[in-house]
Amino acid sequence: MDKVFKKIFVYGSGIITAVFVLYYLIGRFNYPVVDNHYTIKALCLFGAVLILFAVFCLIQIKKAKKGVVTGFSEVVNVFVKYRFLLAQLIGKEFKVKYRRSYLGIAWSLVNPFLMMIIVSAVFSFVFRFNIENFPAYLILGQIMFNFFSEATQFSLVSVLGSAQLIKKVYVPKYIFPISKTLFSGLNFLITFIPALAVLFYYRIFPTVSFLYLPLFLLYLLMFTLGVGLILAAAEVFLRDVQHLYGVLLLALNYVTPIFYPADSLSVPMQFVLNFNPLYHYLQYFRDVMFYHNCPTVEQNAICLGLSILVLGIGVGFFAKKQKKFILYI
Amino acid sequence: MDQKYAIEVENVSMHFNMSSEKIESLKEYFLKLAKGKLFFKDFVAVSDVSLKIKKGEVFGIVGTNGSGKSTLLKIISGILTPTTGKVTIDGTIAPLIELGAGFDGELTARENVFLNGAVLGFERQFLEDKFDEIIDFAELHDFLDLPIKNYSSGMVARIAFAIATVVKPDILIVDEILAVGDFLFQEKCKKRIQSLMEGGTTVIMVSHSIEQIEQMCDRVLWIEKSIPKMIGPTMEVCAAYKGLANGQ
Repeated sequence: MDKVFKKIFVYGSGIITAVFVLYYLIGRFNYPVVDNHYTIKALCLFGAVLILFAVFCLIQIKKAKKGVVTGFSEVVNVFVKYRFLLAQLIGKEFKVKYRRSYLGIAWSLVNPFLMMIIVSAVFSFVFRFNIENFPAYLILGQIMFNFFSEATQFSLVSVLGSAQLIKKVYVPKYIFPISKTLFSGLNFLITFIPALAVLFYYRIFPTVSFLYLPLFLLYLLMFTLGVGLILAAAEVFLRDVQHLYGVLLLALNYVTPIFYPADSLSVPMQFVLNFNPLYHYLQYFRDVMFYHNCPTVEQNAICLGLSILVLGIGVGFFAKKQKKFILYI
Repeated sequence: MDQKYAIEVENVSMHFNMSSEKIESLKEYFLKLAKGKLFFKDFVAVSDVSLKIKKGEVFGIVGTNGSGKSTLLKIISGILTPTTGKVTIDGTIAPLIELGAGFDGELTARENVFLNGAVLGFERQFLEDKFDEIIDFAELHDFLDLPIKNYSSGMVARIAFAIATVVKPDILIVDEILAVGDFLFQEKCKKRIQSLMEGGTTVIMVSHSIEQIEQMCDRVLWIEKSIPKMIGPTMEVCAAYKGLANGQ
């Protein structure tokens, strides 16, 4: 295992540096005058990420040499040793989801489109907000929120739902929330097709800011997986989590500016909004896809920081609790 | 680790917490917690077991119901983590503890072969190569594309057994699974297990059929009410175990 982490360290730092240089140049090109401290801020963020990554890898290598199995080493194992099972589990989701429906996978294309039409009809005729190209604004918020809510809700029941498997053979338990999150992630990518169609209809075409999309997807995936891991582990011990989370999601749906503009809120509410992680991700997403703004260094720092924090807590919490899963399922 | 041994179990104990009094509400829970009166009854399922099983050995575990045999097997196969102690394994394990782990009723037999194979740690290429062999063994050619929820339990067991034993594992863990399917298929299963044993696979088996243990095993562990009572050559241990029936 320590060899795998050494490899991760070498390639990882290379990739981080390459990604930094790439996005630094894209950003530089976009903020020639506006932000004087751009270079310093970007370098600070890069340095912080690289140091954090190096420390993380060193700790993992040290523990792996001692033969200690950490949560992260199990997560890595899911992608190395259990890759085929992961692919099978994700494939299974697709097969089961679309079996015996005539439209099959086309539902993933049609669904967001229909939802967008309904919601935008409601908000165009019943309530009115002053947003240009409202359907395009709306569909971006919707597909992102749907991804988050679907992935976390699936993850939540993933460990309990795999009780039969967990009781019978050894598989790393991380594989269940991970496969659900990746499955929802693939669905999310499919829903980009109708979303792009709506954007093109309103003559919003890709610009250089679209290059930030992979970065955004990575942040959101890490964050969502982290939340999913926490929920999945908590649900095993406390079945109330499922019901509570349903309510929480509804609240989250309203405090995230999906169908209203953030500045339509009162000033105190706008302040509260800052504590909603999804708000930051959605803002990033819309900047990239809708407003054609390259996200600032601060935006990157907030989104990346949240992702790392939540994923770290998720993996750690899951690692601490997973040994007792089998006694409660 | 000594290369001679396939499995080393060192002082393994497994404790379960059973709450001894019912706590009705969260308030009560916190009150008890604050007073330090939160009692749990400690239930010991396996207590201080140490074993060393040599490569190629056929090892049996006997004991009355609820003695911790299956718990011990689950600890060895890595499904349960022991409360204290350590298990070291050298080689690949095929746990035939319960068959058909990870089958999905909505999927067809063909799809389930790949899913279940992946659960057991096989590679895609390997499964594609061995696919016909698995189906031949299970004798289910006509039902390949039927969702497995429509299968009878015997049919499911056939296909599960075929997948689990398609590879020659280093260690085979067998827990009372020879009781599946009709008698023809049971014979077939026994033959397959025997051919695996002859191929140098280490086998750990649990069975209530003492004749089966006597026939197959080299050494036996007798575990009684979670405590290992006796470990040694098959005949000695089995004789002592059978003594139980005669009131010792």
